[in-house]
Amino acid sequence: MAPNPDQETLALLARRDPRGFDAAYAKYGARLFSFLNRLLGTGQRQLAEDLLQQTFLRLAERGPELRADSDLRAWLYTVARNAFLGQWRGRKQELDAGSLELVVDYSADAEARLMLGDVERALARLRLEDRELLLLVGGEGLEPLAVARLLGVEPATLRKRLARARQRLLQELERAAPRALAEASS
Amino acid sequence: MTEVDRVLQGLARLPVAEPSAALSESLRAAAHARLVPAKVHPAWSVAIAASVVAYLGWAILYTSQLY
Repeated sequence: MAPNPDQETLALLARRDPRGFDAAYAKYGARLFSFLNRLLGTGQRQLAEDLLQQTFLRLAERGPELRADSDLRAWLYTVARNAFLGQWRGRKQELDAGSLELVVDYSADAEARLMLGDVERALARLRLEDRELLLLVGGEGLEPLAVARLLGVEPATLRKRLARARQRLLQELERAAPRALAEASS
Repeated sequence: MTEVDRVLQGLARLPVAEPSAALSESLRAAAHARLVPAKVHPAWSVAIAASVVAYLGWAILYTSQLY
């Protein structure tokens, strides 16, 4: 069995050593922020920052209780997702009606606009369930088994949902491709 | 590599957006404060011990006057 990559961080947190928090924030802060930003799909940076804050304050409170063999990354994404769902349930219409802003501005680089900009736009058009799944597995690189636990579904169900979500993203990309090509050449 | 795999690979290449420096700083401060409980000033410990001793003294004195 591979050693826990966050063993040292968890040990520091168990001793209530602030360096444990700093290490976790340095390693996962920006990634979690990007995940939340894209999950919101509306360019609501302020809300993403609020959710990030909730997630890491939870780490400061509960981190010392985490076991040495805990999967810190999966734990953080679970907390972030729960924080997101809490907001989303209350503000569903507002969030769904938002504009499809990009998390990163690609306007300076035509190639990036074609590739990554399109992926971002296509992602933002997907249903929340598909977007979340693709971000966790594809974007964040979490193990499918960990994602299945995080979402509370069977691994076989997850595989099917992932295949469908990939397909929908691909369809969105194909639909957006001619428009993006026209934009890039103008 | 299949077309579908390229899609997932595209997701993995999406750039990471940094939270604002102000947020990171305030978050660190708040988290550190929660991790490290505020130390009680030694004067409070002395005051509590003195009040316990005074109460016990009074209780002994009071009891001794009963008999």
